[in-house]
Amino acid sequence: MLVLNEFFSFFGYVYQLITFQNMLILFGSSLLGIIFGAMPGLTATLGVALLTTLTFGLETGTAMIALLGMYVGAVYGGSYPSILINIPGTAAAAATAMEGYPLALKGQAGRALGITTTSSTIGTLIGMMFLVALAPLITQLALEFTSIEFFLLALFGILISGTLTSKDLVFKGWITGLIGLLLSTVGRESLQSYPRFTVGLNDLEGGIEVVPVLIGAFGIPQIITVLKEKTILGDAKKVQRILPDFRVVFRNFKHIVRSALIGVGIGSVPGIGEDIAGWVSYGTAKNSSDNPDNFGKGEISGLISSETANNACIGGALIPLLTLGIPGSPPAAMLLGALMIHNVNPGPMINFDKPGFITQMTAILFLASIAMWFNGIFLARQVVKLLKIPMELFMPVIVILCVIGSYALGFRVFNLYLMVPIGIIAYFMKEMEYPISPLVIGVILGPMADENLRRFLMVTKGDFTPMFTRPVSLILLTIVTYTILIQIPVLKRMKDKYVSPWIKQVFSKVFVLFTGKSKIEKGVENGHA
Amino acid sequence: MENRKLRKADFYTSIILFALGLFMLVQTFSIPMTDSYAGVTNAWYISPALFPLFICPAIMLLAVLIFLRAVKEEGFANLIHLKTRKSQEEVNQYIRGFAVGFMIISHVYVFLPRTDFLLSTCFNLMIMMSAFYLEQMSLLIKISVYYLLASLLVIVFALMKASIPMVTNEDFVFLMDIYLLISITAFLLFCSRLVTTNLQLKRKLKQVIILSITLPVILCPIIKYFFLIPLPVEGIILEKMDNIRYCQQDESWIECLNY
Repeated sequence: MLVLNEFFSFFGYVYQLITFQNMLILFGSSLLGIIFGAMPGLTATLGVALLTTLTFGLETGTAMIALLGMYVGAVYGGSYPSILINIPGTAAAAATAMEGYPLALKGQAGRALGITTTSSTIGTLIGMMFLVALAPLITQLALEFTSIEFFLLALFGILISGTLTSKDLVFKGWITGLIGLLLSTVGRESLQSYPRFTVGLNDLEGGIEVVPVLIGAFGIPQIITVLKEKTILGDAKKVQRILPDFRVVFRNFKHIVRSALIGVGIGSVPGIGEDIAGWVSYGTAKNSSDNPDNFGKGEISGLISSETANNACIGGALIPLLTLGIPGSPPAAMLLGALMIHNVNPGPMINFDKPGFITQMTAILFLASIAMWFNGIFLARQVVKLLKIPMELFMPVIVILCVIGSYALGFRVFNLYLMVPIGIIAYFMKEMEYPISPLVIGVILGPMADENLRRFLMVTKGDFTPMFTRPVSLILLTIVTYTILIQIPVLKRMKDKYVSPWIKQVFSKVFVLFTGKSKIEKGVENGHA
Repeated sequence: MENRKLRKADFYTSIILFALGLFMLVQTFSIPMTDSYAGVTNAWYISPALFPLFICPAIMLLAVLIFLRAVKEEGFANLIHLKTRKSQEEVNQYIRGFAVGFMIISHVYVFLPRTDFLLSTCFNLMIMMSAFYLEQMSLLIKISVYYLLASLLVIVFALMKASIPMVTNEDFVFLMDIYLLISITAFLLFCSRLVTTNLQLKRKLKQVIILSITLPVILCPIIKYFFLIPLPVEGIILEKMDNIRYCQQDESWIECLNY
């Protein structure tokens, strides 16, 4: 009943949001997002971060239209250079290049872009449906959470984000998350207003703001890397008419559903972005395909899988963001910062503080996906022309936008003094394969973890036992402990020996259930005995 | 980064991270644990030090684990003596990376707080675009040195201003803006002399000049008058822009500029 009510009020919000001004902002920000995504070196996170400060003066709903339009557009826009010049515009579109570029080489760039546009739209819409269906249930469940559950949830968010985003050692992800937490402790803390680590600077008393950290951590390393490496973009392949090709999309319906589910699932894990969703979905499509040899040669199902998943990830990332206050992806982290600026505090109380806000957000996501489709189909050929702008001219402009973005929040030059060292440190960390997302997640979730830990201990008068007696906290504690302990080599080996084969068995049974044949049979069919 | 280099980097970063954790832990001990603060008697479990006391040792422990991993994989002696020969392209990349970092630092810490926002933005765009778009290492180095000298002069002026109390902030900003205008003009002359013989470079420099002047001229009024964001320093140019913006209808342009 609750879910049905949500669906009805959803259409009411869609109707309310359709005004001339909103549509102008929506289509404009969506186009800007596509441009941001299409320019290699610019990311969805940076786009949302830079736009946040410009939406400061707007009404909350209008600001969210601009930001979600940018987010959806940028995730999709990354596919343009992937298909046309074999260089992903954003990390989310890296898997798209595997099939998109071979299609462009065959002279089917327009067709590939059309399919990408439609599957991205469908992916966003499926993600949105999950958001509208699951968010009320999760917020209701989260109302049962006490401070210890929130503390453990924040800890879990940082740990899992550190674990899954580390390309090298898992410890590196964790340590950046902890540094983020440490940064969040700077300034006057909320319970007793005691100034921590302010080194006598008045500017630090209010703490470190999230926006300069985000812009610094994601913007500056990107600028340095692009200008340092001097990436030479190849000539873009010629684009013919861009046609949506609905027949092909419907023929691949099962890939769309599976990829959307993967996207939503990965998106809802804190701190894991669209890039992982794209790769996992692409990998699954290849593994479950009847013709895996066709992959890498312009296989449509691979293209659809990657693009559906990375856009479905947006809806998934918004689920923990809105219901628990934990961002599901780096751009969602920026969105959280924007919501805070607009006095909206996402979390279990959101339905009481701002009734209908989640439904309004899903309505905006719906409109953003429609705007993205229209922009993609009708303006893609114009956007492609922008790929000719040399990065050496574009990146200095981004420096200026980063400066304005960090400064405009609170009109503080001190924010700039913070942004630069954070950016330079983030660059070196990135070079040494320390992931940046956990750092940002740490800065965002730090106050939540700190406050809730002390609140819990205040209630229990310093007693830790309720942590083990409450079922939800016990489950979270078990997951957190498992995530940590599994990194110990002996336990890792034990897991590989005893647990992993069992999981594989379960998965292969599920696989047989869905496809009706085992993987070995499939291998024989394809000539891989 | 290749594995051996990565472990060497891990070896040194783990030491830095351990030191950071230790330093913060020492700082944490100065936060009251059970004493009273602002009239409230503390218990250990509500102390502001509690959370950092969890984090700092965890950072130190993870730093030790990264350190041990590096030593285990490469061996202590190898890590200390590991020398890697850099190719010319790698050296060039280092120089380019260093130049970008320097240009951003200089813009934010030296020019932005002391000079008109529009002028400093214009100068920074001109420097960065020409340094990288002209695509010649020798030009990049020369332009970086020019920017370094211009920045050093601003620092010298700022230090001199501190020793002359009669100079007000407004006077100083005005003087700095004049200096920046001279620097921009000198840079244009300097660059046009550097590229006299090469037609392609000349064409690129022309593009840089047009872009670096038009972009701030479009961007600043949008930020200031449309988004209503006051800019960090509003000096000689932005003041004139204000005069024009708020000019009365019956006044001529010259009168407006001379407010």
